[in-house]
Amino acid sequence: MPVIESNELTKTYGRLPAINNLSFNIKENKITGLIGRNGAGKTTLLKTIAGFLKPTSGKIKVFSENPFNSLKVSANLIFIDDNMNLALPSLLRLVDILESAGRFYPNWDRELATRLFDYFDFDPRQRHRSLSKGMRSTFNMIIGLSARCALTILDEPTTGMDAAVRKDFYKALLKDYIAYPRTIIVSSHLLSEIEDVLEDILLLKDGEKCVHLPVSELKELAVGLRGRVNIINELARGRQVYYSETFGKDSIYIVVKNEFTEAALQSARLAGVEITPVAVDDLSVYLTARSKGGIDNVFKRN
Amino acid sequence: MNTVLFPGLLIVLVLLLLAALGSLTLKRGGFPATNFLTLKNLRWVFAVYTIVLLLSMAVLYNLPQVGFSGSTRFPVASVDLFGAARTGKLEQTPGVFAKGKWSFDYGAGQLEIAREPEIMIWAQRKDTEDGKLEVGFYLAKTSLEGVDYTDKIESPSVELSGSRLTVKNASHYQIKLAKFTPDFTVSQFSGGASEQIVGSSSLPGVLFLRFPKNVNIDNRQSGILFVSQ
Amino acid sequence: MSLSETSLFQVAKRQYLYKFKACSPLLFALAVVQVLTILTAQGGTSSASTGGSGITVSVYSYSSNLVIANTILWAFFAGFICTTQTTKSIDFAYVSNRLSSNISSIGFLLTAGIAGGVLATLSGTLIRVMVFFKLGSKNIAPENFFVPPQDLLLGCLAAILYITLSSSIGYFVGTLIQVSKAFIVLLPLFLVLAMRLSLGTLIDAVTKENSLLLFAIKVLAISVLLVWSSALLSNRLEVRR
Repeated sequence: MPVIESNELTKTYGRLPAINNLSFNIKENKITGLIGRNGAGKTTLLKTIAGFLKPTSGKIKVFSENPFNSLKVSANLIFIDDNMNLALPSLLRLVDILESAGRFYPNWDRELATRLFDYFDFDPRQRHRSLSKGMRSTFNMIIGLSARCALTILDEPTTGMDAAVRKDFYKALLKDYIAYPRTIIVSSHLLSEIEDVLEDILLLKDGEKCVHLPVSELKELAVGLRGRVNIINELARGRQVYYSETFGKDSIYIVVKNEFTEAALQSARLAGVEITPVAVDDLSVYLTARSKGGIDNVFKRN
Repeated sequence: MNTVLFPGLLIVLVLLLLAALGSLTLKRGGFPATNFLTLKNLRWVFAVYTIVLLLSMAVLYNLPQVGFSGSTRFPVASVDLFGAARTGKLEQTPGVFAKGKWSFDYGAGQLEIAREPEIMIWAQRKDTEDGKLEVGFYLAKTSLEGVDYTDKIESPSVELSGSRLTVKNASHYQIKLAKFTPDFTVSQFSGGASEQIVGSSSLPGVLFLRFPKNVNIDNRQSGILFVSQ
Repeated sequence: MSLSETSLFQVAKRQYLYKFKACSPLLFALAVVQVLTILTAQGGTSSASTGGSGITVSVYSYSSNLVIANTILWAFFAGFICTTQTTKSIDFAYVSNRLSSNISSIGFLLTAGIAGGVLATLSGTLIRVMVFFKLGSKNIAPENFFVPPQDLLLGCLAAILYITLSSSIGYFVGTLIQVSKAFIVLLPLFLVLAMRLSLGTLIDAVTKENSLLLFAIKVLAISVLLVWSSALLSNRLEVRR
């Protein structure tokens, strides 16, 4: 039984749908990355999964139940985003917040929370409100991990964190996930950093599902070809081109769906075509792009 | 005016305070005082407040039950001060209190009376020539808003110097009285027996002078009422 | 990983206890409101003054009316605050559904209301003691100074009932506004209209009721109605941080 089942899920705000006809399943005990541009509908989707929002149409099921108003879902779910300062009492000290959280979740690991708390040098008497953005995210992460909920949702958990802290975060996430497997969904902009931690990626474009694949498959999905225009165009005929960029008078670089045989690639190499793999974060940018060319087109005056 | 304005202002003050505290709960926004607002301090605040209230309950019910201001719950029949003065029965009339008594030796002759305004003087010629001026300050039970303050009124000072009798008000003083009304939560259900507010008596007291037959007082002076027998 | 089970009762109870920490500013406000009112009511309300003949007489009237009234105001405010997105977000950060959130809020308001009502009524004893030591017994009228214990009890019960009613109204108003912001404008208009029609008689039916039992029944009936409607209305609301 998948943990999350979404069936033609649509959520509209006013006229515009934030999520549109979204269907997917997420299986148990996987780390899924929810990737997409700003406004692609990631937060809306996560909040609908968490039961905060109600779908306009379509169905969503979490643990085989409707998450809206479900105690069962709420008891096994924790939702951490960068707006936690509004969801945590402004006058409680950090230590009190951890203690209160612990009372709600039977799997709460007090020792882990305390250790992480000390590791990141928090002052127990501080208020959540007075933390810097990065420290806030770090603290929220401590709550998210220590709760050990069957479904852990992290919406932009690294907002404001510096690179060193982010590295620690990915390590902590991975370690705890391996020790205590659960279903985790992380949304992030920094795909290149986080892809090593992820198993699957759900890519959203304008509220619709673009791609839902394991990271390993995504890495092989497309290939980058660079060479002379006529040769490249020949290779690209009839294939799905995700991105193209011209250099100088005769050079072009394209990203195309990799349906080539090994032999075809070999002959292309001999013809002078440079063949490169496409990084997952680049690919996700191309897949969710509005136009085929990049921003360079804005600056081309021809 | 005070009774309406004061509670009104207070309620506005409370609202402002609540709004300020409300903005604390709702959004960020630093408030230096918030360091005081910890859970531990909250418990202390309520503990201290409750203990103070319990203590004051203990103190209240152990206070002596005597020594309070006079009660006006049972209104005394109004006193005819003038009639009592005329018939010389001021001392004997119940509800009349003597506040000061003076007796001066004075032979025959003119007596000048200097009085401060507002002091009411009644003068009565005696039948005898006993050479004594008898002055007394009398008042009926006086109260305001149901609180009796008769015993707090000070009598004027009376001095004789040569042929002049000087009557002066006691130096300006204040009387502050307190009364407690039942809370609306109680009065709504306890039959609503409202108090009888006995109005204040109109006379704040009168100086009664009895002079010998052979003494003359100018009877055209204002403020002096001659009482015949 | 196996799913943890939980019951509405357990969740509501945990939330109820959590609310005393989460809504601590409200509780601080209660204490501050009462203490401040006691201190500023020290002057008493001067009811009458008279002068002349060199003396000024003033009578100051004291009661805990103002403390109780301000606590009732606080209760409305507290009821309102419990319906805002902030409080809901606080509930939903952990384990909650809309029903448990309502139940825990109402429980919190009731408990705080009982405490507030008792403290407000007892504040009268503090005021009496303070006046006693400030003015002396000979300047105090003996009526109503020594409050008989049954009056204190009566006062506590009545105060608690008024406070409960007030926080129920605040809760209902807050819920309406959450349902639609239009109520911010509609409610005052509706209030004006209702005053013309029959709201005045309803208010009289409550505030002029002489029997404590009937009063309690009326207050509780209205409160339950308001709170239940709020729970029903808020069951469809989304949580927005």
